[in-house]
Amino acid sequence: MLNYTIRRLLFAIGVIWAVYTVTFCLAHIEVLTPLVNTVESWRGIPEKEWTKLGLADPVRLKMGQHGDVNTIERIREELGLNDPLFLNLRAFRTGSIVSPATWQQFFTDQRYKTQYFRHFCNALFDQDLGKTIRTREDVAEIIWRGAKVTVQLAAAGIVLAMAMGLVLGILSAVYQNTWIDHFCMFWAIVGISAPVYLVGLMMIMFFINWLRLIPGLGMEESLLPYLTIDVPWFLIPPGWTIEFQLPTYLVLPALALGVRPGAALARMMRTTMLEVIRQDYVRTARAKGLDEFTVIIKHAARNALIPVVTVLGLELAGLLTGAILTETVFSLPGLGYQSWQALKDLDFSLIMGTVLFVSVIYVMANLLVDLSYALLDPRIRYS
Amino acid sequence: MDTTGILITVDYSSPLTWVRLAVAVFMVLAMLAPLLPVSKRASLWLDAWKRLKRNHGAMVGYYIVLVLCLIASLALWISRYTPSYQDYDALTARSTITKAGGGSGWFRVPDFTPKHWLGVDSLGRDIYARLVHGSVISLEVAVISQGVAVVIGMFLGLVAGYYGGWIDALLMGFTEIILAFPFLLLVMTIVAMFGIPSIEMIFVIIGLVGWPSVARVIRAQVLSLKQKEFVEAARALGATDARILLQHLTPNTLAPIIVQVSLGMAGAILSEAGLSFLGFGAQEPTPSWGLMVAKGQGDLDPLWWLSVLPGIAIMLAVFGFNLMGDGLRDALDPRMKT
Repeated sequence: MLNYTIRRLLFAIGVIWAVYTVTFCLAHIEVLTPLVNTVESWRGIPEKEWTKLGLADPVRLKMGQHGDVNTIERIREELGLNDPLFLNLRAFRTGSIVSPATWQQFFTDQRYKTQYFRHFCNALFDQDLGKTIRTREDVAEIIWRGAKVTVQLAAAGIVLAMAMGLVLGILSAVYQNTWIDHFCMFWAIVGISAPVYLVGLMMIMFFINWLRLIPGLGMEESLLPYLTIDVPWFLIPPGWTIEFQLPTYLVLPALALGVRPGAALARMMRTTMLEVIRQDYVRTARAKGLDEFTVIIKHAARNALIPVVTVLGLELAGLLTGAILTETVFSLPGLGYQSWQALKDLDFSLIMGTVLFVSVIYVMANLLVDLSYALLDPRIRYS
Repeated sequence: MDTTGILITVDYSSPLTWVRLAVAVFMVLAMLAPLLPVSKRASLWLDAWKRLKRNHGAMVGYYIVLVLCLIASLALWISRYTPSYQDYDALTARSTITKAGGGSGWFRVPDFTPKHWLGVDSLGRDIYARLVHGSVISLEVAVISQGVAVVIGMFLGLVAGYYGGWIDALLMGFTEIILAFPFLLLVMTIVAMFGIPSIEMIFVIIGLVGWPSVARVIRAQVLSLKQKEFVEAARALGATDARILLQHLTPNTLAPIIVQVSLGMAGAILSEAGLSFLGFGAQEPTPSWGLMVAKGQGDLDPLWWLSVLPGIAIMLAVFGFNLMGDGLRDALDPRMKT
């Protein structure tokens, strides 16, 4: 088990490094373009013209096509965009190749004077992902701010999805091939097929525009961002006050986000429940005279949950993708919305930061799921 | 009023027109296929077809997909306007209606005028024409992206599964890396960084990012197949690796590929719509459903159907492919039936 854990961990780290490198290359594609000949034909602009226009050059984008050349050069220097991408051979220009000082200088240059290693080392050792091109804000800080919103959203979404998936899945497995089963599975397929933004827009249309239940979109505009719920006095010790703050701005986005994973979970749950229900230990539980509810929930559903947990990890990726669409529809300033904005602005460092952050979370979640799978089910052993 | 350029004129001298008509005729014939008696001769595919016919859900999916193909191939004949034609008069009429009842905060039916029977969008373009022509884009993305994904995924899956060892480790590691990116975010990054390319190129990019799932399915299938006796027998007869791969293993991986492709088509339609919705897919004036949803968002209060109808169109198309894929899985792999 330990051996397996270490192997998986090393593999995950390798994948994250590869993801980082791919993201870096994608973000600097306009520098690497001369390597890819087909690219120029996509734009219909010859390569030289393109560089002159600076279409994908973030500094040009910021300063405009006719920006002052000196200022642009200064900004490029400040952001370190003039340094070589991967390899800096400056040390060898003057130094001798056999001298250790030259090699020391060479390695220092890679650390501080190449864009790739500088960004990599800063990200790894200092958790510093650089500054955005547009606003010169700290990327790590922006991501942190967005992650707080997205984590809330995803947590609420996954709770709703679990509730929906488990109830629908168990119901349709218990009443297999009756109208309840058909009804649940029909809605599960509809839920898988419906685009997140359609669900979101219909909710906006229904609850905000027609019923006027919730004042508006976003976090700032809503008049009642939190709904404070007092816990009644008879539920808590005397003298205490406990109140929940239910963020109302999250209700509709979480519902919209939860539909797809919920439907997927329902289908998965039904399949595993149908297998488990036919097992001997369930028959034994019935024979002992336990009531049907206990048999289904305690004996069958608990065992059926194990494979579902793995799907949950995979659904996390869908959830993060769905978060882009959900946050765009509901204008929530989360990670998805930020990465969308960053891509629209072609803001290198922010794009790299968000893609990297999201991928790391996804790889780690998958790793945890794989390991917890082994822990949950003692029958599974990895050699 | 000058009507040139409003009404669609079909160019019967173009071979593409006849291709469209031929596809339409084929679709009508395919609709009748379930009525035909199945021959008594037993084979894997005939048995699967019989099981598929018995599955009501799968047949609903089958007909949804067929109707979609029929609409797409007959798009020129069943819509009066080209999808990018802007009707200024209808737009003026619409804006007076919108001002009168705009933001009423309650349900409004679409204004069914005889000229535009689902109304016009904020640029005066016929919604119905755009919906009908949008089906062409959706089917194109389904076919092209899955075509690319199957070609790459099949080749790499076969090679990885058959040869094993370091080739397998390398290819599967590569697969892991692609799967470690959130799909939509990766496609968006590629599209943004290369500059927004033509719509066909976006179909190809979706395929280029989507092949790992196909490769995994085929690799798993090949891993179990290569232990079977018939492969050993072929090798004993002196068959080369290429012959075993192409003649013996490939036909046996067809069933999972068909299932994977029909489910993948649903995913591809959804991805293209999502990309277009976010502005990184089809660009104006391409009549893409996702783009229509995005453009209609601003008019959601009084004119909800501008974005909800294309959204429902996406849902129906994806629903059809999903149902068909599920049915095919049950039909082609009876062991997996639940």
